[in-house]
Amino acid sequence: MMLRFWDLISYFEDSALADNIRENDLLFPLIESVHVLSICLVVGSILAVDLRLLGLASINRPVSRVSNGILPLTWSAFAIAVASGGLLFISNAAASGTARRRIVHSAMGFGGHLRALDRIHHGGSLR
Amino acid sequence: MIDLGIGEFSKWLAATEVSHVIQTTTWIIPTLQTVHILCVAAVFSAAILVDLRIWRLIERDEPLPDMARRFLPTIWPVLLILLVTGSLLIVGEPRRSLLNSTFYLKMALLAVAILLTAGLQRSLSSSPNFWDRDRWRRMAGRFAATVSILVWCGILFAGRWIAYTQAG
Repeated sequence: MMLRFWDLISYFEDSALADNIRENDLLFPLIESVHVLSICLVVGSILAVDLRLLGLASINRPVSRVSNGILPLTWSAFAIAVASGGLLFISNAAASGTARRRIVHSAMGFGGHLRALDRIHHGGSLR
Repeated sequence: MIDLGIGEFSKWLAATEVSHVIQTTTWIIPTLQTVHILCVAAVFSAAILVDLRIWRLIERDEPLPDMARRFLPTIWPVLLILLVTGSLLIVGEPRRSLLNSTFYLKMALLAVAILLTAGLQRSLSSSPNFWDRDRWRRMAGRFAATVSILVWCGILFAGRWIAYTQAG
């Protein structure tokens, strides 16, 4: 079972797409910049919602309206972060470490985002 | 020539005590870069949220002036923090930025973004329906918001690209 998983990773890492990203001088920095940009939007937009939850910003606006207004952006940015991150992952062009380390990085990104959004959805009743 | 001046200044800066401490204390540069990018996330998101509201893609039920008032004012103090962390990063690694055309591109785009954002904030505080009065105003607003989004994205791209074009 574990053997299959690493085979899957290798399959993508050895693909023509991964080769292109690795070898093209423009493509990797471009995808990396998109990744940074989208993560900044995820972090920044969640910060805005978190500040509302903490009662530190936009306090004259109901929590649900704040989160409904901002979370669509968060999710869209997250989707772009995952897509760009996936491309970076399979290219393994930068010295981003072993596959295991890259998986931990990605898992933390996923986990952190999903946990934050879960808190927001269920913490909507917090004043 | 200007080139010679910057080169000499950069060399001088790299030889100072402050620069040496920043360079050799392992945690300083990563910490500065982390604070820097977190502040970038805050400023960038604030600007983008307002620009997306101008396009009526988010928060459609909230008037633009209210949206601007929620997010634009926070940009300025955070930009100040960015100035501090950015300056310290330059002091620590002068060659990386001062001898790098991408860095100057980033600064030029930042100047444009600051003017656009300040202009937007000013226009709405003096007359709340400034961008809503007629069809032309609305079109102009969407144009300004698009330019703003592109410029801010450009700043982030340039910021990342600095590492790729830095002098050896």
